Amino acid sequence: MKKIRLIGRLDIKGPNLIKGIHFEGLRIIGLPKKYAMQYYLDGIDELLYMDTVATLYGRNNLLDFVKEVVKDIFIPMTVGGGIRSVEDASKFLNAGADKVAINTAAVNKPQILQEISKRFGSQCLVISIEAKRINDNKWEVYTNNGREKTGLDVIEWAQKAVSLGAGEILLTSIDQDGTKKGFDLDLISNVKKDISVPIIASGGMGKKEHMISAVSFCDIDSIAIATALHKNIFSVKDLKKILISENFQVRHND
Amino acid sequence: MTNKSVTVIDLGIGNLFSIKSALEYCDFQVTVTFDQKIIEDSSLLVLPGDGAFNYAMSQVKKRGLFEVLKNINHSKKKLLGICVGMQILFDYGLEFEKTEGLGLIPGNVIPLPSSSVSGKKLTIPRIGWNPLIFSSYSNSWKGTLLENNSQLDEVYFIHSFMVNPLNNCNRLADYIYGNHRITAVVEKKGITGCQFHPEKSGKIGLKMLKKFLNMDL
Repeated sequence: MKKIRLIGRLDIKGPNLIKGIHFEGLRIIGLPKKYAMQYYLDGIDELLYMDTVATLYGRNNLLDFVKEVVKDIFIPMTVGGGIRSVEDASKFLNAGADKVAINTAAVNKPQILQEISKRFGSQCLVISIEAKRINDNKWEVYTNNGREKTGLDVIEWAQKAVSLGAGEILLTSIDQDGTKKGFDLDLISNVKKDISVPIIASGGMGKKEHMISAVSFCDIDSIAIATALHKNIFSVKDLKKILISENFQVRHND
Repeated sequence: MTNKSVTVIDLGIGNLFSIKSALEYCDFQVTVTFDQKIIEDSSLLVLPGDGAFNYAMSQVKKRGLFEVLKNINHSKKKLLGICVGMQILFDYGLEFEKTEGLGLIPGNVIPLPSSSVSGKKLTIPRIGWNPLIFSSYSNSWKGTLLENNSQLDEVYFIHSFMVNPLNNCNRLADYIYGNHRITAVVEKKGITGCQFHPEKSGKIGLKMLKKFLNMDL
């Protein structure tokens, strides 16, 4: 029986938790700590914080936030958005993040993956890939929170990133993000084919069937959920109950 | 204000702020340092670490802590190693290159098995929550940091290498991955090591830290 890892994804802009559709039309949802705390108490397995505008403005607001939440929330957290150097990664890891997620900086300078994994280990390095479908079995890598095309093929880039030291892949479908229309299962399956590191599927969760399809039909066990949790379509407890009823394992709440 | 204190050894790697926060949550005053003197004078030590064995050991040496930690006085101190901080308690590691460890617990550190017992490819690194079980050689956790926990309590693992203790009596708890038994907790005379992260394992992990901090020498 497969055990499913549920990850709460919080996209953050300035002091606010926000969420858009296809990475656009960002709306303010509330204060991120309140949501993070709720998901923690409800038994989420991990939390993921993404600064949505860090790269765009070349700055990072998340550091203080991470230092704040780590005092009360004792589960793993990944931080992404605007991490451009080993020093940036170091700051977040020292502030309480367990993993850093990197997209734009890795596309611009792939060696950064080697540098970070050599220094801190692959286990703390997540390659964040924003994928947009081109045709039936081809996806393109985007950067800057879905704003810029790169010309890179998602499957090739995923393999290269892992060979350079990424220990996990956060795979977000731009086409599905925020739509509540389900994960891009072809994308997940195609990327997973030749990859041994864990893949976190992100983007599109709206119905319980979406989650069940992703973990049943793709060779993955980790799901990132944003809108469906923020809008309280499901609580973490609901999701675990659903998984158990479909014969999957989940972490028992403590 | 508490006067109970614990020293976190700063190797410049890993998530120091998290372990500090968790220990403070247990009502202890926390000093994060690599100062030899402070470490020598502390009776309660936590050695956290993430990343590669060889890098962790290079930091131990660079910070002048090799002798201090290797010659730790078992009767006067308690030490908790976490993740790579647990792995370097052993004789040597094989990550990137064969590297000498602290040799406090006999054994070595080897890669996680790449496939399950039935031959299915395993996802590496192993990232996620797993239930703890007694090792084949332990049937009680009394007197250890797991004393207040139960079998099947779930804790958070993130690793690609695992410890391979020479003496089974040092093995307190295991977890199962791909039907393999993987060592989760080791113990030898006041020195304890956890492969998982108690500071990231919710209330279950905090319970272990609390127990460790308040155990008798």
